[in-house]
Amino acid sequence: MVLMLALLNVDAIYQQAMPGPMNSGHENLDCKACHQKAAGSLRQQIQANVRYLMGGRERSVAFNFISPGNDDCLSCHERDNDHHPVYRFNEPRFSEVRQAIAPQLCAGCHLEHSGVRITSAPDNCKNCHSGIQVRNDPLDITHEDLIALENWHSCLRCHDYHGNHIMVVPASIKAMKPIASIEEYFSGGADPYSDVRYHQARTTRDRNTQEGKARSALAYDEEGAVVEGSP
Amino acid sequence: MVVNKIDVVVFCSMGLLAVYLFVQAPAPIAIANDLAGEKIHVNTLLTLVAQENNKARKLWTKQIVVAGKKSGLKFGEQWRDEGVDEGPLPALFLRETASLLEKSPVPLSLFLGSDFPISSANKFDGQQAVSFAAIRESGESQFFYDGDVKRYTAMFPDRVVVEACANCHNKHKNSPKIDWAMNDIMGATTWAYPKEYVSRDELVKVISELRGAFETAYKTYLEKTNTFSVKPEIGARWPEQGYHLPSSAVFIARLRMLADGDTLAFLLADSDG
Repeated sequence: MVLMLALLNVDAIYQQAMPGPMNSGHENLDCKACHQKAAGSLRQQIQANVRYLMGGRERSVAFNFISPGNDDCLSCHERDNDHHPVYRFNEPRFSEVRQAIAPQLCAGCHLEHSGVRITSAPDNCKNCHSGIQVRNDPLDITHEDLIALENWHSCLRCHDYHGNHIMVVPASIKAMKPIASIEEYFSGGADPYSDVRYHQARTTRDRNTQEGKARSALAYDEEGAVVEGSP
Repeated sequence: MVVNKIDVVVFCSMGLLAVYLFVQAPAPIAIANDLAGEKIHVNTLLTLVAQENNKARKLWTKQIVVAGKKSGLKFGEQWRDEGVDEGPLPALFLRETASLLEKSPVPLSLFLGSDFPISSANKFDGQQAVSFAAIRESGESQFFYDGDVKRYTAMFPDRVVVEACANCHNKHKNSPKIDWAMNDIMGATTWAYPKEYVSRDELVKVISELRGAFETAYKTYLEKTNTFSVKPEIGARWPEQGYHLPSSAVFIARLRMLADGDTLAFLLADSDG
């Protein structure tokens, strides 16, 4: 009986059972911004899953809420010209990388309810870029040398992973961001790269609307104001 | 015979649950894209989209890039940058299409790669390297199942279709190979889809979304031309007729004209077979 009552009031249970604080920038999000209602009533969902277990249905269905996935993140964060879009890592050649760090999932680096900005290690570039060769290398120590030294913490000291910051990439070791500033950024602290970005996250799930796309194409500063000259 | 009370309660509960779930049950939840009737194997779908892609790529390369260069249009790697009056090179046009496909409602994926890529990030590895070696050996397309992402996958040879492709790659400062020639296999397109069988409706939907992605990629280029210091005339004329570009409707109409026949023939042959 307790179980049945609990099932009928799942929303309240979830509110109480939130697994941890929201990540940076998500503090004011409502649960339903990411946790979308599953199709059908609870009774229909039980029925469908019993049928699935008995072989009468090709696929199971979600109970009450659908597990949030990439689409939920991208409904606000998707944009053009992402340097590392998640879908790229579904390519077969990234099989070992997927096993190691799950870059095909937004949650591979941004596990929600962690109270920080980034939950992966700052040296993850080593999983894909160990063979990189930069012709006409502009850096005062070559990328190949940095790799030979296994200095994988240096990558993010010059480059932002998604390429969303409007900034000049340093060409010298001295101009690199301090590793402490990168770690602070991972933890949810100040942005070491730039105050202005090419794209600002949308505040509603509208990435497939013209309005959403137009908004996504604007450049914003740290406080959300449109950068002059952006389209 | 002794009847245990607990057994009776369990039996009755199960009976009530069965009545609750199935006898008095509401309508079952519909399954999106549930297969009914005819099934088409995913290899047919992947072959068809690759065939459509070959038409679009050839149209873009010959009629827009090669003809456009002769008329004064420019194409390059930094085409997206502000103040750069250029359009995407063929591989970048395909990349734009691939990105748009990922935003479409169909779970079709397209990737580009090679064993001698200009960007080392596009070099094949693992199963793709094995399959690409087989493509180099035989010239034939390769099909396999990628277990960890649960995708049926196909790789199709990507050949030099115009001299300009070979010339550009041979001259590129980052090219690891500088002796490409006409009809060489420069790389491969990799296509993936999560279902082994699709319905005819789903197949048509996938082709429609792919063509929509080509059209949107082309529109993106047209939007970029609005920022050019000298804007090309956009309408019914093509670059071979001067400093013009076809409108997106004209472009996609030409693509349909080029692709419809082969796609229909392939589908009919598949039905007969």
